[in-house]
Amino acid sequence: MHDGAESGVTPGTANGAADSSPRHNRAPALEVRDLKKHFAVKKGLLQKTIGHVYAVDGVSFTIREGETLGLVGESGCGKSTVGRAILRLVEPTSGSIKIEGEEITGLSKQELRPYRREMQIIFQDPFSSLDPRMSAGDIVGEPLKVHGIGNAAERRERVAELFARVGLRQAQMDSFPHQFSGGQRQRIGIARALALNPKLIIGDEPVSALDVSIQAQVINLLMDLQQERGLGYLFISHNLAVVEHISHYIAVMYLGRIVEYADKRTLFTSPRHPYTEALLSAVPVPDPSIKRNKIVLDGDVPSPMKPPSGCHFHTRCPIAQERCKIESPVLRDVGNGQKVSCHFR
Amino acid sequence: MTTTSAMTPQPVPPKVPATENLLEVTDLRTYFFTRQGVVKAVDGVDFALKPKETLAIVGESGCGKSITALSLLRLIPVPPGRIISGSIKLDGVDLLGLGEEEMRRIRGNDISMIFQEPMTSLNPVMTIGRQIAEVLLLHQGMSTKEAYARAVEMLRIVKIPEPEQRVKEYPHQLSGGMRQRAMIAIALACNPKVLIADEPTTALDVTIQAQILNLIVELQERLGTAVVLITHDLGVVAETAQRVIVMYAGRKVEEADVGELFARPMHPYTRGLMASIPRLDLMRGEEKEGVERLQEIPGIVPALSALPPGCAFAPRCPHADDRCHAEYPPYEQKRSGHWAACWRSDELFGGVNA
Repeated sequence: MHDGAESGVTPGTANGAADSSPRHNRAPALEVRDLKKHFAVKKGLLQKTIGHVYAVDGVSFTIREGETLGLVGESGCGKSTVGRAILRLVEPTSGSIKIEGEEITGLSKQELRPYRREMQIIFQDPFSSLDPRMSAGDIVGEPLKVHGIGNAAERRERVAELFARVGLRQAQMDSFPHQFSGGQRQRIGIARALALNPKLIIGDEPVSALDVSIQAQVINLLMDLQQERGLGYLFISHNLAVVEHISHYIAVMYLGRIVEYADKRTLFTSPRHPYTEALLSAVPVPDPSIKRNKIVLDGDVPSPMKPPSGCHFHTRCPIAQERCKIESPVLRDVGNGQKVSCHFR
Repeated sequence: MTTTSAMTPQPVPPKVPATENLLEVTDLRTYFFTRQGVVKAVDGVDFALKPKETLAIVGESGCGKSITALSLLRLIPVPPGRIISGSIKLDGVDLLGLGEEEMRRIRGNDISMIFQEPMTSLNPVMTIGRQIAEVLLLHQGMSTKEAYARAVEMLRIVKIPEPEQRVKEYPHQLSGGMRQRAMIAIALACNPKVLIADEPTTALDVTIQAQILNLIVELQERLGTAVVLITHDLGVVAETAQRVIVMYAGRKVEEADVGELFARPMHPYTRGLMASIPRLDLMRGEEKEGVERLQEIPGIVPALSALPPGCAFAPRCPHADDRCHAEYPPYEQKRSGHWAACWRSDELFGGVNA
């Protein structure tokens, strides 16, 4: 049932739509192969395992420096778990995660430390991801302190630099999180993520909690930083418009698996998987002069504890046939670097 | 088209003969009296709603759109809040003049509301069926048996599968999309004249959002309900509403038919909002070279308790001049059916042709 193992997605620069001339001679910032995370569901006095949630079920992708991979899908599809498993905030069940070519699964906490510097995360909710009792300056400087970089004065100078870079005033370094607006708090989160000069930033819905006018400020900041520093982004979001804007490549997840992968242009102009089609057609377009025929899917996403047999999507798929209930499709290359997991597309 | 329409003096909206309007809101002011001072959450809002029409109220957090919705049902917590002036006429009857008992007969019967988060607005210890039946028992004087039969029918209307089973279930047994359907079933059980939908799909996934929006539009056609749609999502507005009001800091800043508003926004704030959202260009068949920066609206929404003296948007507006900072602009008709509150819109955008 757990196929998709050899579905290695290696984005070339094929099609060149979003070609940001990645540095091919170096190992990619992040390489994930067949990542799985199954959560045991326990019940009763003896905490007997009664089942598993197949949150991430064989996911592979590569992110190069200066590139953004948008990971999209609906609630419960496992996209956030992918981000957390890469940082080993949750321990992956199996699979391989390579940071600049170095395998990090199986490393002890101590051994993992130097790699932690290379990858940082920005969370969705700037209200709950900042310690309310620490000053903004201490929050941003904490990663430096943890990794034993510089003395207090040097760290303060570095924090001041970071504040200036993300558009906060240095006078605000001694303020506390509640004294900032939502957008400013997200800037603090970004400054903290930048403190150690990482190669990779995982953004887990980083702009979803912000008002649209503020959202634009944060998206622009993230894109500027990428250009300046060659950061690789894993941008996890349910908002397809934002993903289209910021990503070079896009992976669509459904119930723990990647069902389609392509560069941005290909995915938005010629999606192949019926789920991608439905997802794109469901996005409300802010232009009343455009009338589209919507594909409205029936029903809800099934529980990841009891994923449907065969192709996970067959229960809601408009083109599903008998074969889809039995045989799980493999994520296969359909040309131009586009990968689709569907028997009929 | 020229700018002459902006020159013609016009009376205060609404612009259609009163008899046509189902709901007429005039000069609504809802203030909150707090220790920090008076918060003018809604400050002189007027609008009118025709039968079967969908009116969208758009704005960001704190612009007063939700307080406007709660004011219509008189659900403002008193104290600290109070509706200090205005009228809300439903079929000619001013709701602000009614007693609490009479108001109860209106809520859920003539005007219903659905909220963003269905889990917090459904009662977790009552079955779905009982929650639908409750409104019918209260407002329609049905017998218990009739009410439950109607509850099953309502669940079928909102396309919940196996309604006979679901009617006996509790909210936690339903998925997010199902709960929102159940909320809609409760709201529409008494066939209200007006449905207020406050961010009805914001908490839902896009494929479920599409289902719920479809359902609202379909039921609206079938039952003739008028909808006030409160949202921050311009995409949802473009696809669902006929008329749009844009609010900023407790006031209307712009209002027009949906096509007109998106084609020729007249207020710098509306323009800023439209430019700051990623537009899905590829899907719209437009391809741009490289990646464009989104246009930012600098700064943040001002605190409602400390509004600037002039136009509330002036501190963030790229076009603001001295007059904007000193005096609040009049809310005037700039084109036929297109209203905006901006000193400089004629000179800046007046001559724009589609």
